Amino acid sequence: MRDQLIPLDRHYDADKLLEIYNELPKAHQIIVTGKDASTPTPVTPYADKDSDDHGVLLNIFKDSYLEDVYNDIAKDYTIGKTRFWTMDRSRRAYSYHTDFTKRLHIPLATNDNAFFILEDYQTEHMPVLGQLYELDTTRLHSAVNLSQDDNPRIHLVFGII
Amino acid sequence: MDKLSKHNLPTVMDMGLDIDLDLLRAETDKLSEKFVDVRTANPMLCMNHEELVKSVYDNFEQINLTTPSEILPHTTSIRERLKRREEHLYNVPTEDYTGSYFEKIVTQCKAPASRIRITKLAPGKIIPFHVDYDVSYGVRCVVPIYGSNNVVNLFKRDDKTEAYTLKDGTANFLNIGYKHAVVNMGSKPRIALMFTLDGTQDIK
Repeated sequence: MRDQLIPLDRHYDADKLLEIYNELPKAHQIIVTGKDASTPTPVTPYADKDSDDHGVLLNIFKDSYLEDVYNDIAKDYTIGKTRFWTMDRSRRAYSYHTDFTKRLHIPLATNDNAFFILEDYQTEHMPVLGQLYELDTTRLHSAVNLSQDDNPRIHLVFGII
Repeated sequence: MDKLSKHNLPTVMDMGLDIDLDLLRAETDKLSEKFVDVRTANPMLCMNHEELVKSVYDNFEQINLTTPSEILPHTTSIRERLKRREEHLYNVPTEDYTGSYFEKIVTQCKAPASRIRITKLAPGKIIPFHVDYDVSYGVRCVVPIYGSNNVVNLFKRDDKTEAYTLKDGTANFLNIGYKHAVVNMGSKPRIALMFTLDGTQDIK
C-alpha cells in the first residue's frame, strides 16, 4: 500500500537534530513533548497510552533547533506525542499493530535494513535523512531494524492529532 | 530443462504436502520441554554463521529430530564445508521422529531429508539477513506450526525486498540462496518444522 507512507516535500537538518539527541540520556524512546512544558524529560515511553493529548514541547527544548522544527510542523498539523525513537540490537522489531493517530517521521540515522512492514506486508524504507514522511499508522504496520552491524535507526516521530 | 538454481525458482513455493495442522500442533506441544539453544542444537553448523549465531542466540531454539552422523573438525573453508555436505550429515533420526507425525509429513517428499528440526523464534525477535545455500546443495522446507500472519519472511532479490507470510500447516520451499531474514511480529513464539531435502525433485 504505497499511500500508507508518503514522503513530504519538507526537509530539516538531521545533523542538528542528532546533536540534540546525542546530549540526551539514551533510551529507545525519549519524550520531546508532554501534557505541559514543565514535564521533566523522561526516557521511558508515555505512561498514558490511550491519550494523545501530550503535544506541548518540553521546556528543555526551548530555543533549540528542535523548537524550530516543532513550530514549522505545528503550522500545518496538530502535534501529539512526539519522541526520539531508536531501534537497535536490543530492540529489533515491533508488533504488527495499529495506532490511534497518524505519525510524521524525520529519519536522523538509518540503514538499508531498517524499514517498515505495512499493510499487505509491503516493505518501505525512509531513506532520506532529514526528510519529513507521513505514515498512516492507523493501518497495520511494524518497524524493524535488521542491521547486523549494530547501526541504529533513529527517527524523530510526531504523533499528529 | 535448465538446471535448477536460485535464479529460475520462485522465492517461496507451497509444496502441497498433506498436513493435519491440529495433529501437527498436538505432536509439537508434546515436545515443548525439549527446545535447546541454537548452538547446542547445531554442533559443526553454527561455526558457519558465528556472527548470526551470536545475534540470535537468546531468541532462537530448536528440537533436533535428526542428529549428526559424525561431527567433523572445524574448518574455515566454505568450499570444504560444502564438499563435506555438513547439513546432510544431520541424518540420524531421533526417537521423537521415528514413527511420528513429523516423519509422515517429511516422507511425503520424494527426496531424502536431513536436518529435520522444530524451531522456535521468540516474539518480537528476528533472524537477521543472511544467505544459506543454493538448491544444488539443499532444498529448505518450512512448515509453520504457530505464527502465521504475525511472521514475515523477507528476501532480498533483484534489488528489491520481498515479504511473505506462510500459512500455518503448509509446507513451503524457501529460496535461501538469496539473502533472507525472519521477523516475528507476534506476541507468541513462532514455531515451525524445518527440514532440508537432498535433491530438487520435489520443487520441479
